[in-house]
Amino acid sequence: MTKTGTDKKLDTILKKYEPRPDSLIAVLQEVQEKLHYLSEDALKRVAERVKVPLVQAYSVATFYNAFSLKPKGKYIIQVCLGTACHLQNGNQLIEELGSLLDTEMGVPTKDGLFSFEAVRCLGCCSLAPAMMINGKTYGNLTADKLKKIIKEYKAK
Amino acid sequence: MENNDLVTITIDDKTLQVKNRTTVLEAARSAGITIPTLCHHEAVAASGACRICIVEMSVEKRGRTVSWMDASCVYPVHEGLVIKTDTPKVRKQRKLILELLLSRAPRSERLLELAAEYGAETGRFESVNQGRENCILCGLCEKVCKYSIQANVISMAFRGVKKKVTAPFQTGSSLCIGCLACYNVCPTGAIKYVIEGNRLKMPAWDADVKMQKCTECGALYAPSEYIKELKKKAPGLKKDVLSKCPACRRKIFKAGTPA
Ligand code: SF4
Ligand code: FES
Ligand code: FES
Repeated sequence: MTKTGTDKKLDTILKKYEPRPDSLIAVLQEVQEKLHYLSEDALKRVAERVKVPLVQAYSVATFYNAFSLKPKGKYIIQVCLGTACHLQNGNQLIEELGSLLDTEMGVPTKDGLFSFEAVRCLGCCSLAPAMMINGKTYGNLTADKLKKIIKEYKAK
Repeated sequence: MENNDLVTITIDDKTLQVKNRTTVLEAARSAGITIPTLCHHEAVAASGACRICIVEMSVEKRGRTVSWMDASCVYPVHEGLVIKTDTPKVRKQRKLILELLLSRAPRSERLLELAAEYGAETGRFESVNQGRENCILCGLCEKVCKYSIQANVISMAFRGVKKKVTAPFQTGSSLCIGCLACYNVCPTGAIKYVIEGNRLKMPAWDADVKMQKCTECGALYAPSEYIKELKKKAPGLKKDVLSKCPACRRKIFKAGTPA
């Protein structure tokens, strides 16, 4: 059986960590970052590698918001719907993104490039409405600005 | 003070001496006083999850009485502790706790029994799961599966209002040996099983295991994997104990020739 790219990526990640239970969260974080989600297969292999029962890995993976069992895009857009952003029409950004990317909240685009989700307060309320793409913050957003930013990412 | 030293405490006007740091619940039981419990089980470490065992306690400090309430199953006794297990305040708290628990498990017989005793009503609080699972998230099933049986089939997963006990990915766990430990410890009766043909099924974990036939009479008497596990963990068990149903076992042992 030939290994897929995903399998190889997973192999590389797993090899980096000590095969001990206390590596669990670190490994999960890296798998989430590199593969954009924790598939059933990935979770099984992580659990095996760090010697914890699968059910424990599952328990941790479902507890933290940083982990996702469903695929996410390469670029994860987090639209703020905290109090300040909500008042500045953060909701409209979500609608805008839906039609711009032709997908729904939480469902990655067909090319796997983007997925978007709502979060509560990014901690930069003075920039409301705000969003974050893979950790980078964008503020004072308008529909036009949003379009431009997405275009830039598509061109990357 | 060492854990073997004795301390003097008072429970419901009975004065007694118990070992330092035993729990209030244990001390009460040793004095023949009943405190209701749900999440407490001798097989696993106490977690204080359900709060139904709440009692009133007090001590004398510099001529003043300091009193408070706490869960008796996790509270260790100390010198001079005065405990009241059934005051109006205790009853009022238990009623409230029951009403909260009932919102998650409105069909639990044990809860309804307690509700009748404490005048608690169903439906006072609404729960997002609408009592569908009939589970109060006490954690007992998870703990016996993890620590006592070490099968690691189920665990708490998700969080907040979505928290629940489940097998990974909610699909039939290949690890379940059908020991029914979870079924037996569950205080609310949330865990069910059925025997269909020669299979034992537990819908909550989507588990499905084979039952073994008695070598004497052919009756299905226990899951095969469970018997294998028993052989491993208790190597001294006689062959007849492992391979025969309880009824046949009794006959053989009566005749006095167990193999
Ligand atoms: S299923 Fe039963 S034993 Fe398990 S957490 Fe729920 S109430 Fe407790
Ligand atoms: S509410 Fe959006 S950054 Fe604070
Ligand atoms: S029995 Fe003490 S907290 Fe549940």
